[in-house]
Amino acid sequence: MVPELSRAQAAFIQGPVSISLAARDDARRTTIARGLACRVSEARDQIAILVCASRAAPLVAELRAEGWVAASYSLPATHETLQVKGRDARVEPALPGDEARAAAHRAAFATQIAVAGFTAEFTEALLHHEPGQLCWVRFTPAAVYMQTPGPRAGERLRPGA
Amino acid sequence: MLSVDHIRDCLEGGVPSLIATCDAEGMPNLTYVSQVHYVDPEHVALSFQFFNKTRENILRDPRATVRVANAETAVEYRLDVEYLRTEPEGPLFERMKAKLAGVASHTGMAGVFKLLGADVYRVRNIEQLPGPVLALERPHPPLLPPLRRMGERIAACGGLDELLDRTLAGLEELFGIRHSMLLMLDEGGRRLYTVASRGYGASGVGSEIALGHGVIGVSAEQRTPIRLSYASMDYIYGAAASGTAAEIPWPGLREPQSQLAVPIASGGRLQGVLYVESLEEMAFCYEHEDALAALAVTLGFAMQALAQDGDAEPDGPAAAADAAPADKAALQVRYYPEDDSVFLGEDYLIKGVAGAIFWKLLRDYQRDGRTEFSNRELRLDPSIPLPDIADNLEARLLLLHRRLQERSSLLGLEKTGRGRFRLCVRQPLKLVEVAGA
Repeated sequence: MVPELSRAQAAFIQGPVSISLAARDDARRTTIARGLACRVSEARDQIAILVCASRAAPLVAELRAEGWVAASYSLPATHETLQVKGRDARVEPALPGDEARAAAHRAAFATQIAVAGFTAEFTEALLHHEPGQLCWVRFTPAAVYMQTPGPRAGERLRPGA
Repeated sequence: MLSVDHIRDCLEGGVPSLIATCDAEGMPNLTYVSQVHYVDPEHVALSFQFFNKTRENILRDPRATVRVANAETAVEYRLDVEYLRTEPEGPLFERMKAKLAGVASHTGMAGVFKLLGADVYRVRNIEQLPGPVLALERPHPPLLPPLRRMGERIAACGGLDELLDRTLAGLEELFGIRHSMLLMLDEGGRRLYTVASRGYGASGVGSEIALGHGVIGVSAEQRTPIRLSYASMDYIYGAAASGTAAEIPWPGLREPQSQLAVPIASGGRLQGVLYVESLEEMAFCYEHEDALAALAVTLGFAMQALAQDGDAEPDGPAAAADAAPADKAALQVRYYPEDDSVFLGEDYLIKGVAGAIFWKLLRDYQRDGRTEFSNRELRLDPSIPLPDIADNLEARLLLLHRRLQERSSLLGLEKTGRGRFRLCVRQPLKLVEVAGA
């Protein structure tokens, strides 16, 4: 089976992008949280996003109840944006080395937005996580959408495309 | 509870905002929003640029969540909102369109970002999200103290001339705004003309802007403040391209990075526009818009009061004229009735109502040797096309006075009392009326 994510897309979402996630509760009220790093499995059939459980408490609670998730990835320099959706998100504990992984992503993203005048302290604050609060949101990518501003925004990208 | 007033700094752009919605199936959707715009304490408007999943979702279920962030302190807020309506035109639409044009050119998206509508949302709740908040590196200077001092200065003004100059001087001295101008609405209501400016090489007094053209024209047409925080080709006034002789070059900055125009109205009627600009990006924030809008209200009433005051003194007897020195060659003054334009020698001076006034003064001078005039007689003169109410006569006389000051050492106007002035002629005149072509 062709994975939903292409190699280029997988590389993109693991790059120095801005990551956000959305979930919803029983009443279909939505919530948004920041992702602190992203990993894609070798077979590109699993996405895992690092979040801070305390800062993203409502999202984590909603995903524990039901795993419908939308994740958005955007590269500030080019506005290139992808959205990936999944129906089987689950919350998993962090592993040793994840603090370093979050720090590496933070540093890479800080470099990205420094050109727009944002300081490293700003990025530190935006992507800050409380000690011991890191956890993973893992899901199978079910659909990928183009969201770069323009006439193709919102278009579903076919697997392997 | 937090209102939208508390989080306006997050709506200046900087950090992109996101909106989350939910589809019929229950799948969440996340989309970046180019602009979350302040409407009032309970409402925001989101830029609608593309038909997308968000649109499909809110038309079905109006509930959504918006996340905004402050680009200086990194504090983030979650807004629970409910979609109400889309405005495809009007003041709110124009405010957002201008702002979006600035953002688009700043981010290299000019031509991609096109506003289709202003999506108005009711804000149900605002919640600060947990996370570190940075201290402001340079706290914004408070704008109420300078606004108060400006009000005191305005209250002390005794004439329109003084009022306009002190207002623009105050903008520089009290607010640090170096480039500013005041434009008045033309009697026909289709154009604005500059009556005062500050911070430019040439004053540009008498230069005109059509209603709907650029930041100033749109502000007047829609009667709403228009503010751009970044340069946009769509809103920059051309490099003083002067097509005909009867045009006074626009004095404004060639490449302003920030622009703000605020309409001046009183008694429900548009009087003009207060315009400021800067070579710096993001020079004016929501607070500046507030301060200048409040100032414009004061200014509108002050202008109205001073204009009424202008007629207060009864007409005195016409004084004898000092004859112009007869030993000099006559200055030819040409008048074109079709647009009331007046030329001194070969140089364009003025047109419109101010031109008609000037021609009447010159004819009276030539015929009777009169030099003393009153506002009241001008108002009653059938040869001057003033509307019955709100004639802006004071502003017209001020415009004429300033144009003469700038363009001629031989002719001038001098205030001699309330609602009275003198025509000063320092050279013999030859008046020529040029019939329509």
